[in-house]
Amino acid sequence: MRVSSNTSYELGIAAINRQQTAQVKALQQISSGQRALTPSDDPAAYVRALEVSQADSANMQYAINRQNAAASFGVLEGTLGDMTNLLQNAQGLAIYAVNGTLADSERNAIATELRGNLDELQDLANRTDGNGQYLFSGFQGATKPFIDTGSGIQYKGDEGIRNIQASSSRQLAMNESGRDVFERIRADGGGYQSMFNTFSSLINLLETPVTDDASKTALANGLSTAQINLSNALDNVLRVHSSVGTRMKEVDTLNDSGDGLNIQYKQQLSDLRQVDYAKVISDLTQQQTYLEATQKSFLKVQGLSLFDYIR
Amino acid sequence: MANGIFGIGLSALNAAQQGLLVSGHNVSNAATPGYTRQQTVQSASGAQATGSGFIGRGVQVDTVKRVYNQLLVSQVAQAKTESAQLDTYFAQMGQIDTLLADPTGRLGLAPALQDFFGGVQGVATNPSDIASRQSVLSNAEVLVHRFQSLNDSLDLIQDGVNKQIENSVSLINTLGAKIGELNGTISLAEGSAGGQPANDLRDQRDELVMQLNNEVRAKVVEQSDGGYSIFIGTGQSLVVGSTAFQLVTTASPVDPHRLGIGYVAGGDTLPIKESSLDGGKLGGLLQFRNGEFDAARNGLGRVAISLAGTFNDQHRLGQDVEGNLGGEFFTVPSPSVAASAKNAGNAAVAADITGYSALTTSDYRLRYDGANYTLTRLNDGVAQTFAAFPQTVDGVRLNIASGTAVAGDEFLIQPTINGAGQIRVAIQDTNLIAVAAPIRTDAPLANAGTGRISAGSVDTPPPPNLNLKEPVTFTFTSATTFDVSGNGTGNPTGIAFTSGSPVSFNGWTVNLTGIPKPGDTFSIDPNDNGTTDNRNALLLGALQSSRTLAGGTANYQGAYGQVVSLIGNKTRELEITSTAQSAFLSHAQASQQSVSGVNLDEEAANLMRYQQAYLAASKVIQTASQMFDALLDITR
Repeated sequence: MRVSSNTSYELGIAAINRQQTAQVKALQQISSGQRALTPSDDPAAYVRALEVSQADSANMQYAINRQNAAASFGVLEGTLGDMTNLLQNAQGLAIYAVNGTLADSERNAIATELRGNLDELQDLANRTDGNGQYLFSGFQGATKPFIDTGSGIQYKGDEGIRNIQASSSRQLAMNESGRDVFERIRADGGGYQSMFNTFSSLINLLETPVTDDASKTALANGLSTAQINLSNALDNVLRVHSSVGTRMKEVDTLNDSGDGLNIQYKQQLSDLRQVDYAKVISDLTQQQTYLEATQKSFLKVQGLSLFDYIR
Repeated sequence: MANGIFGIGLSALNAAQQGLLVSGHNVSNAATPGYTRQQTVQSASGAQATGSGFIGRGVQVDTVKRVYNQLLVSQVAQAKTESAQLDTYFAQMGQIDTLLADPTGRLGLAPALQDFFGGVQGVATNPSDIASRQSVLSNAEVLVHRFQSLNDSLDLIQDGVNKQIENSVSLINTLGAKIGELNGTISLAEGSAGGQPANDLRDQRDELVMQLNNEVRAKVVEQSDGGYSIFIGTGQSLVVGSTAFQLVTTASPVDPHRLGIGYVAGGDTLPIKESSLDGGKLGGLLQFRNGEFDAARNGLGRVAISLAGTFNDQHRLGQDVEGNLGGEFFTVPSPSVAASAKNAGNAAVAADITGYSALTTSDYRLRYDGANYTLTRLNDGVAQTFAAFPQTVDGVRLNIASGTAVAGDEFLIQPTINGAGQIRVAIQDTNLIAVAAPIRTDAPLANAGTGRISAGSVDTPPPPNLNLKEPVTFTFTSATTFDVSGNGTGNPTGIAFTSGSPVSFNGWTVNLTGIPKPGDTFSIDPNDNGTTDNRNALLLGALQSSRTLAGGTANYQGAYGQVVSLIGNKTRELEITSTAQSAFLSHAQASQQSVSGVNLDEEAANLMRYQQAYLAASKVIQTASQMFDALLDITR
């Protein structure tokens, strides 16, 4: 075939251009550390990276949510622990008060100690979290849940439970309603009685002087009821405590699997996005060799001319 | 006799000289674009009949011709127009490709979307925390700004396309005029040269045709007088003889932001169908603009509209810090409806988005024929016909807002075009974020049974029931029946109770479970002071992974991923096809050049050949001269 002089120039220059473009591309990949600089470099991987990044960011957000939940559980656990101690102390006092040799004045002293316990219990029931929100008021975080209305301590909160998204498929309750913890306690003889009422009845009972057999029997019966109710209250606190403990444990489990997912997502993202240096550098070297070869052969071809021989 | 030898020598001298001239011309034009190598065509002059046979009378040069192959030239033109189209298309796509590029995953729309929903989760965890609430608003602003800046960049790309279309059209007009001029010049030059071809002028004209093909596909028909007639589009003549016609850019009658192309004939401007103008830069620009550019803008718009709309829908079912029902969180962008500037009627068409899941990324054309309306989805051409409004098509409700349409009236409806540009955050006050649910439920301690009531949920879609927050009480009359009392419920009695089955009144739904006893009550109340309730925030957060778009197949980021995938794949495809077409073009050029291009070595050989011929011819003349001298010597 005839070859025009233009063609051989143009082909040579086009080849050099092509190889330089490939070189610049490799250089960009190396300097940025990214495999796909624009979606068109690898559309499938690019879109996949978008999906993985959403899963990754959600997973990290769940971890933050769980951290918050764990903090709330910590405050709850502490409060429930304090309540347990307090109830156990009250149980001890109720048992001690059964002793028939006690005088009215001694029972009054026990009543005074129980009154202190009651105040303490109300403080615990009105405890706030780090944000100044009441722990046990349900949805009404700014409303003080337990208030002494004169006719006993009344619940002003609600039964609202605040869940957090602890993983993509799991929501965990972060709080306990005051009613469930302090009020919905099986009473001796049926129905429910709040632990505040249990305390006030016991205090009233102990402050009532024992004068005759009837009042003696009333005291004995009253103390027995109080012991049952205190024991029910303690059971309820332990039930709630164990439920919180279960959720804390679940947070730990979810943390483990979340950490696993985190590593997995990061690995996937790195596979999808990050450049394989060994491969790119070897490609670059290869392209350099091609470019040099092309340049040299271009010079050789262009260096031949019949005009050199016309003298 | 000697006279004859002189004549023969002289003719050879002339022929060799012309050969040298043509070779020299070839060498000097080796790098001239569009140059076709030339050759002398020579033949033996008519011989003289004598008694002893025919005696030759030397050589004559008949003509100087181009070594030209019409087929190869038109193949190059064909390849060139396609290559220019693909290169231009690819270059434009590359701009969007770069626009959507976020190789590190920190700067694009996707991370902004993730941060926004991260903020929503944060407020769900700490509903009363001002900082968490502020972070929702701030992240929403970042997200909205990301949409807007993408939209701004698309506007810039569109401006660039318009500018390039103007350039291309003006270049086409210039080239057409020059070709017309050359038609005249060539005919004149060849006429005065007795029909000899005006090689260099013809080369120039072919080169202009090649440049024209670089702008738009042009069909060339050579007339019997040698003039080129040039046709573009669906057969509009650009050049006939020495007359050139003009193209103009006009604002589209339905969309003033895009330039259309018109053909000026007899003082009128007729629009040219854009799809018929293929090939060349112009073809590439139009194809880009009517294809992926619209798809990208509408795809982003659809994500913005659906996000704003579905988020608002859930937000309106919640309750803000002040105890009011949630309002609009985002401003939802509205569709664009443009009546053609040529409409004779005065009808105004209104379009509202009613279903986010059904939204497509297409634009629509509405046409009235005097009896029926035809709505055509532009990206796949699916049409439907109806006689009356309102009509809801693909999640868009169409209606005549005012006026009447006349036969032939046309409207362009673009449901999603404004999405990315118009989305805004509608609230600035952190108290207005509807994190809580508007109702809560209660089971009093006095209840004797084990019945429980769920926290309750607000029924979709908004607007919420007007009696939503009216207090309602269920009172059990037996273990299996209950009465309902409260405004809006109609106070029904004796409703059968099945544990776990949902009960709905006043726009809410609750579940009753367990074994209630007669006399037990359950109440549903307004969630007053519910500042640490996060139920609506959890539902808002769940929208991130809900498949609310594309017929329930994609979440927000998935729909954005579809845009990225479309642009990425198309750009990649164009990169490959444009490279292939370039290779095809250079192959076609090489074939054409192998016939018509100048090979300098060949010309060097020709120079030597003609130089030797010239020397030989001189020898013939010298011989004749010596013969003449010999004759003179005899008579001395």
